[in-house]
Amino acid sequence: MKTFIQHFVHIHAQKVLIDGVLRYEETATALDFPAFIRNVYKHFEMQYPKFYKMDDLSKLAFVGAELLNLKKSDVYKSEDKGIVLMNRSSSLYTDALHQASIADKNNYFPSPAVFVYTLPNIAIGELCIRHQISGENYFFVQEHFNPAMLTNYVSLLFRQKHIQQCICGWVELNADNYELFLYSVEQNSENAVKIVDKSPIFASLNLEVDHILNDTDNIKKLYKL
Amino acid sequence: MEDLKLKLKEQIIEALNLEGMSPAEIDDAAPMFGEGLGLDSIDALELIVLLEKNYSIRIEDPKDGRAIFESINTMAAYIQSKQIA
Repeated sequence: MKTFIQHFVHIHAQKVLIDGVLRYEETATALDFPAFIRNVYKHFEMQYPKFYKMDDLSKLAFVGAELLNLKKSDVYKSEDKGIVLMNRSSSLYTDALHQASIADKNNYFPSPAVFVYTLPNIAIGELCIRHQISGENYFFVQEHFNPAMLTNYVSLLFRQKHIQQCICGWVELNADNYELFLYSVEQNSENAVKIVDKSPIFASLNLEVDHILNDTDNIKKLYKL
Repeated sequence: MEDLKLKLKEQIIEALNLEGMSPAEIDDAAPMFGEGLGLDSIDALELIVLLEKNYSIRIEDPKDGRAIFESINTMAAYIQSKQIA
């Protein structure tokens, strides 16, 4: 069964690329992640007050998913929409924040708002609420981005007719770094991004009528953009 | 009492990450949950922690929070009553 990449988003090193095109770059000196992601949120005029209450991993996933432009092709029932993410550090950054708040028995004030984010699945939950996703959802923790595993798993979900649309990708955040590569997949190519750019990286993709097939080679190449 | 309310609002804005909101925008009498500030159940737990951390007031039964956290007015009155006691 063929499935197609609808849109893809990269966020790393103070840059935001949508469908391979640089759409935002933080030109100021190195910002910390909270300041950077807040600037991105404001730049793209996102409206979702709950954003400010999320932990950093969820903020990264949220902003990435907003930029996938899901509404344009959002004709699916909630139960037909899935989400499969992957990262290396799980929710360790938030786990450490929580641990720090309970380390001193004389200053023991764990924050409920921090504690609720001490699982990577919570980032998925935030996206499920925002985009009305109630189909398959899964968060893999892997040493490195694993396109083969992700593509095989998501393809199986499509083949078994569990889902008709899926948000997929790598959402990594730790104390020193952040990296997001998110993409949406559907069987339908009608609303999918068209590759008209014939630069080497795009020219090497497996395409069908200018649309990007969801296969391991393509995901590997797109991730490295 | 007015000083306490202002301080309370500043602490709530910080503790609950109410980005872009100033103390002046929070009505003393407006409900904090539902229509007012739109707080949720996790925020209620944060308010319990806020009282304990900043005012050494411990709410033993979270159900009591419903009346205490109705508005800035009720919260400030509760803090004041505990401080006098």
